[in-house]
Amino acid sequence: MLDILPNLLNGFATALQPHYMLYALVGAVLGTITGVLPGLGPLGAMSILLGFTLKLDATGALILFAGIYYGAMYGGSTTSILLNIPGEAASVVTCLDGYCMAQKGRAGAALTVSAAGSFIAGTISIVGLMLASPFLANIALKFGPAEFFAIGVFGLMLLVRLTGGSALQSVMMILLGMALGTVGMDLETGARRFTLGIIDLDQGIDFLPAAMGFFGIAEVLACLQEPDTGQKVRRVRMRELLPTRDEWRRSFPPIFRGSFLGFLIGLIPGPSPVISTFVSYMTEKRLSRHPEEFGRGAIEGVAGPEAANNAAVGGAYVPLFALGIPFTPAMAMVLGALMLHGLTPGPNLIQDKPALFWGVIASMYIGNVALLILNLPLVNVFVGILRVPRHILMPMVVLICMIGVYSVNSSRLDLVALSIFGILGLALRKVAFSAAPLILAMVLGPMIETSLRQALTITGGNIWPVLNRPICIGMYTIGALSFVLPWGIRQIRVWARPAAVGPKSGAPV
Amino acid sequence: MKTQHRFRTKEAVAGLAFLGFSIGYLALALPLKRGEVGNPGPGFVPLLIGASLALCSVVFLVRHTGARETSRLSDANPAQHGRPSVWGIAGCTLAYPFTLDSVGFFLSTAAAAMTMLLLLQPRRVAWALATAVVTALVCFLVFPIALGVSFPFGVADEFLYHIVRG
Repeated sequence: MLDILPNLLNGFATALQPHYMLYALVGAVLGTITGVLPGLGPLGAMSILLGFTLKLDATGALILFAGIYYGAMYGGSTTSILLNIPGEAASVVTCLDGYCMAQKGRAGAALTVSAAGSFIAGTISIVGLMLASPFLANIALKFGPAEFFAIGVFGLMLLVRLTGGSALQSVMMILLGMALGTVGMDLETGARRFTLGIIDLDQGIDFLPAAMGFFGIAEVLACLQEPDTGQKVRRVRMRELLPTRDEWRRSFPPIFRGSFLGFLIGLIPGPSPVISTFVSYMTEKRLSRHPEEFGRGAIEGVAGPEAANNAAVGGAYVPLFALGIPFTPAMAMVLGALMLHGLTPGPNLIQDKPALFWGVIASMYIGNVALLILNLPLVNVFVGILRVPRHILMPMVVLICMIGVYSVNSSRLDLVALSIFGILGLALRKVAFSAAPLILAMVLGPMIETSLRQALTITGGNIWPVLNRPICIGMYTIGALSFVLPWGIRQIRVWARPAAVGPKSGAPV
Repeated sequence: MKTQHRFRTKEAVAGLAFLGFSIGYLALALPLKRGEVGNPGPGFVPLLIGASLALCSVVFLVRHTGARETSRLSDANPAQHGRPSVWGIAGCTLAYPFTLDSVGFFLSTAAAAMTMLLLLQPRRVAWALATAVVTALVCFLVFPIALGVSFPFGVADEFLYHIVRG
């Protein structure tokens, strides 16, 4: 614990190098742009840029991605408030009150509170990440294959419950992702699996074309299927940006509550920034003295969720850095960037590469400050991006995706995979299958398989010692509860409903 | 009623596709060495995955075959908007790797850009051509030249390379 301050100072020494500051700034700007553009969220931007991070060192790549992630969270709120268009899913809740505030002439105040809340939340979550990651990594050093298997299964179990939609569809996507993850040469025996005689497939299906296909290309194709509304972009004057004293007073408690909630929710698998905004909004509505104002322009409804989604970003980094396990698709992208540079995140990374870990932490502070400075004065510039016609923007995004994928391995197979996954992604959207479980399962699947096989070999085929270790029991119990509890609550509601409705309606029994 | 039918067909096609994939996957997993529980082979986990996916696909199909009209039906009505352009752009992404090898980076990028622009703005041919050439040129200067990304070179790329590098 005492090492934190000197390590952080070393991190700042790394992050304050001009080229790293430039990456943080570029990431923040790119993130804000993708956050502003509806449909193309942080995942799209990360997937497009993943190939190009090869040109950077690992620290630079991570700094760029952290900037994109934070920037997208900032940018998403801008279009939510000004246009009632959520730039990305985590900004949906902000539309409810942010747009109402804009209609009342308080758009500037909403944007400022959102930016300030995001900055405070970002800082709090970075402190949490700084404190929690080394602590958790020390514990994780004692983990064996059984624990890693349990964490992987636990992650997928929670993902089934949290991605929304049908649990069966999520399970099917997870299994499909795990199946795709088994393609290639088996590392333990050298056996070729599902390669269909294609030598290029011996290395397995690369994560990059899959992620870019499912999130980048599919997103563009889906966007093109929706009619272009051509909404008029409203200008915000600088003098409108300052909130009143009462607005500040009402905003700070939700910002702090949202920050803590968001960080904690960020630690669990699934689309944590999105979930955190809903939880924060509901919390603020329950705690408010004026719940009737929610949905009609309550500033608490902007401050809390905006803080929560930024804090969740910091929280999501903890399992990746401490355990080497990505719990969100965006973190899977960060994992992909690290692996492209030959690094495996996990408990040893913080000890083996302290400059990288602390440099990234320090760059997050810098990125947050950069976003605060950039976001408010340039709000009209960022919103102006929405004026670029879709028929120009979308082909450019597709081209960048294709060039990005090819530039990593110079492989034609990767480009074919990109197209197939893009079309598959669009088709799966039509039947409400979410791509997030598939992508995470593609990443977690090989780890789960290796851990299970190692654990079974160690125990001589006895499954019981694999399941009954204390951490494993905890993981499986929480995972099982995430299935049983909602079902139980539903059943109780079903039983309670006829009793409540019957006498009132007077319906015959 | 038409909408309801289309929605069910989509679900059925998805279920059948998943089932078909799982059967194919299982067929390829069967010849792999399964090993024992105490020493699992490379086919052990794939068999579990394939069997589970097949089971889930059957459950999904059964659940949706007899499904009644639901509230999702209204959302499921697919807009016909942009359908040709969507498939055209998907086709472009599929064709790009093959044109890349035959005509090189610049021409294939320009052709892909022009096709996509024309699909979205069919009447503006000259504008699409100019935009595509400028886009391909910028991409050429940024990726192969500035960033040093290795792309297959064709005649146009060689020509441009000599101009840029003297």
